[in-house]
Amino acid sequence: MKPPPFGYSRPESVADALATLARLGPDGKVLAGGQSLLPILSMRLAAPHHLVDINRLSELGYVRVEGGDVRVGALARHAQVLADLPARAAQPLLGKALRLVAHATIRNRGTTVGSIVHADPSGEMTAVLALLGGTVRVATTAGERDVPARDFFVGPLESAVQPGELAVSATFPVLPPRAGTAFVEVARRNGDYAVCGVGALVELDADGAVSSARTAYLSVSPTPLVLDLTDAIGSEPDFAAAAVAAREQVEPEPDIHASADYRRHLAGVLTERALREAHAEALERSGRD
Amino acid sequence: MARTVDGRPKARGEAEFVADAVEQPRLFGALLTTRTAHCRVTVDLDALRALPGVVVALDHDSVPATLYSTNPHGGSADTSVFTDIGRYPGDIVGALAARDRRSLQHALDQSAELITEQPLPAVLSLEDAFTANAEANPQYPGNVVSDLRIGADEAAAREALAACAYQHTSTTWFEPSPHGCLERLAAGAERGQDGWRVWSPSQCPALVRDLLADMFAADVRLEPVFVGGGFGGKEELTLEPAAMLLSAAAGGTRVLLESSRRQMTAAHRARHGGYIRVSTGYDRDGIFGARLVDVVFEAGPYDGHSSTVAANAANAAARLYPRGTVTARSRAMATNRLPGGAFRGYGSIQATFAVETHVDEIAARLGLDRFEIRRRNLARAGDVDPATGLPMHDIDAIGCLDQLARTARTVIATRASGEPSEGLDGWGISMLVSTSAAAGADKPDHAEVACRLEPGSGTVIVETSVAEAGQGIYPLLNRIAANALGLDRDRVLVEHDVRAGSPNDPGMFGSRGANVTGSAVLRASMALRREVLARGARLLAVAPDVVELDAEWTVIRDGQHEVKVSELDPIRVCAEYATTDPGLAFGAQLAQVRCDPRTGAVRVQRVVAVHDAGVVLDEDGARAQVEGAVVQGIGAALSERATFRPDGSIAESGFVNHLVPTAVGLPAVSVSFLPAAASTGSTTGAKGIGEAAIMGIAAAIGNAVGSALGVRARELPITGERVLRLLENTTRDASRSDDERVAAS
Repeated sequence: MKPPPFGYSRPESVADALATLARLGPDGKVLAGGQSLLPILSMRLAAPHHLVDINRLSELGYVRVEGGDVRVGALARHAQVLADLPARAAQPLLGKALRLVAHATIRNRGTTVGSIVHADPSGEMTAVLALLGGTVRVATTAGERDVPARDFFVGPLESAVQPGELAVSATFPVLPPRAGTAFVEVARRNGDYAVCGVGALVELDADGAVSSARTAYLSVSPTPLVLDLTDAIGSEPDFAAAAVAAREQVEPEPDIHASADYRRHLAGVLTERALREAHAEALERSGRD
Repeated sequence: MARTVDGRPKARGEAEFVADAVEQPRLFGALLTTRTAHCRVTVDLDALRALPGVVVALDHDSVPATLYSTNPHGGSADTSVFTDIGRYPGDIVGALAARDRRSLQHALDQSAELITEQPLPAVLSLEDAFTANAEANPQYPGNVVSDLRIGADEAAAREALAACAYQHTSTTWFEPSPHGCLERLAAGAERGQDGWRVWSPSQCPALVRDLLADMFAADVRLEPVFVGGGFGGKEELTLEPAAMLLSAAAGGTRVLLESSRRQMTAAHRARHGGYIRVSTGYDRDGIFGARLVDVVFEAGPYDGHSSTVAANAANAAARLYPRGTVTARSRAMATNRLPGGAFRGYGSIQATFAVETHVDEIAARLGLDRFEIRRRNLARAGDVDPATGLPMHDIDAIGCLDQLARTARTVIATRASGEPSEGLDGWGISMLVSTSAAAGADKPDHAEVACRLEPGSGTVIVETSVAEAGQGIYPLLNRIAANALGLDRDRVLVEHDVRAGSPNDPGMFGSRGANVTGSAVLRASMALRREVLARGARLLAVAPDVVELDAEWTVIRDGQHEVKVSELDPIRVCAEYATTDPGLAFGAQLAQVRCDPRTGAVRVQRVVAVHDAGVVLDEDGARAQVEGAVVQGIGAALSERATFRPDGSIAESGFVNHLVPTAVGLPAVSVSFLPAAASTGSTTGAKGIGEAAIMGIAAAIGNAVGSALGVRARELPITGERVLRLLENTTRDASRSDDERVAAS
């Protein structure tokens, strides 16, 4: 299939892009890497009136570690973030999740911010932003605002970005000391959307006891689901108990790839694995391995 | 190196498929289809014709009165080009053509409102086919499309089974699966002064040409086009007559009729779903004394290939281990769901999975080595083929097994590297048996070719009506001809010729190319060389046996005088080859898997394939066939399926959810061929390899999962969810569900 007809602009600067988006209002749709938008167009699942192609905005093609955050510009490709050693050192979960995003060829083109704005509940990077409590910076001709992850994901494929706005960057807090992360998933084929996926962030206190254990889930809820399993895991830690708690809290839907029961089961198994791996990394980073 | 004629253009996006080949200007056509499983249909043609841009809209009233079979080899005549009774969701009730694609899409969007469907009682499962009062198609009373038997009398087999010390019965189930061809089905048609021109991607163009000529009582010229993947899915005659009807209604105007990806996935044809029950009687040494096979496949509402696919499954299931008293029954049952069709393997994937998982279970019960139990029971030359009643010849099943055992020793001993690093490893093996011709005692397989010399350019052209769909038949025919002619391969061209009167070759199916078409090409090439020498001798006025051709084919000399080949008149010779021998070809395959016992995920790590391909004419080509078939077999084993909704429709819609394997994460495949001792007795000595290598993979993977996790996968595809359910059931209930009677011994 070929996309339905659409208008097209390719601004040369962010100011230019914002002016175009302001003019177009609800008719405008931002095109970055096209990872999801182009298949959606080709399958005619959407018919935006006008595409605003931001691929000329090289000023947004950055990955920086600044203050307590990794900041990723709207034109940074997944592959660029994945290859950025300072960023991955500052927040190792970025690398762990990005290697599971689609295939290498798609990661060369798709952008991390684009994935987040797409707000697909089966997308890895939406879960990462939600788990880490990152933010998205959204710009208009009138100025910029920072939207925290908990307010950003409104519904399936629906983010807080409004008509006329452009998401210009996303921030991911750097990993605190004595903390560890993991990202595990099950897909029917390599590179497919996960049937279920779990990201985990475990933090230890000065005595090596678990002070925080949080998990984020793919494909089990309309928006990225984050669970605080600190109480369930206890200080000991009891990973199996945390898995039981996770299973009780997810409410997956069945589809042709998996029943709801199987997804729920996977949520438990993967919760246990992700927490165990994140906990081991936290111990190692605390010098306790 | 095999030089494929289609590889480069296809990879570069330059190949012309049907939609490219049908020249502008043209009308754009699409099928009108049903949503209800079984219904009486009325199409509001006046309203459709009134839509903007619509030129033609047709329904049942415009079709020829006689029914036909979509199987060009001759199934039951039970299909109308456009039906007034929709017999499965997606059945073809009409077609329309518009000036441009946008008008066509607009009309299709409206068409759902303009097709009225009055539901009829429907058969919505295989179980319903046996028990429900409904009939899927009145042409098949009791919903039985076919019920065939081979081998021993069933009562005798049951008696022999009961007389054995041990019995084992297992049943395996299969979900259907669509072909997943790159190119969707399409056809073009126009009627000119001198008859019809039809563009068809059929795997059997010469048969289609003749069938269409009969159906329309007119001359039909078939335009050769690249076939963008067939796998059997383009062995069904569906779109071509519809395109011709559209063109006829538009005064002979050129029409391009295309199917949609959704139609190809959910409404065209599929590898058959169904079940196979196998019962074996055996002794304490694991020697089989009797075996009963019962194949039940879901045909859908039409026969098409179903009766022959089910019969072929029974043949394969009986042939692997033909010793003792063996009988096999095959039934194709009518339902109002997606029709089964020809699909690479033609029932043998299912049959091999049924038999080879069953053999592993018997080995486990006796504590016998998995190679050894097969060695004790496999077919040997001289054993009677239960399918034909004739002795098997030129086979070496045990040779394949032993070569696999040697090759696989290191695989079995070592853990594969790679992702995932954790999990339980296992390996499994499967035997398989394929054929090298679509032949039987009463129905020989037959091919004609022509070879012609164009003296001016010094080129030899091989004319064939066999289709090239990426399987590599043209480079193979080029090689056979060049070797026989003694010419450089660059000076031999293979030409796809399906004009009326051109050499008749039924097409690409049944792994027959290297054997049947190849043998005809070999004969024609040798005849052409003889004719060139004879012509030269005549010009030199000497006997043909004293002249010779130089290596470059420039001159013919008798020692003193010479004539230039370029001075000869053009020469064209025809040759044919016919055989009644199916050309049995055995193989042995091994899969090594890594299983995650907590998620059920199965990853294939390595595959070893050993095949008896007779004389291997083109090792690269043969290897490529095996590798491709192994990958497709992994899809059949683990991920590909069509999922029925309660209303009988299919949930999958295209490549987004029909999960064919992708290049990422494929296992290493090690391929070897038996030393060429065996042959079919054909002129080339080659055996079929196109389908063989897909047959054993699912069974080997199923057996590997069994060895890794201790559970028996009895349903394809083996999804993670199914494996997990098996593991849970094993934990919950350790007792076995199979019938088993252990005699006091």
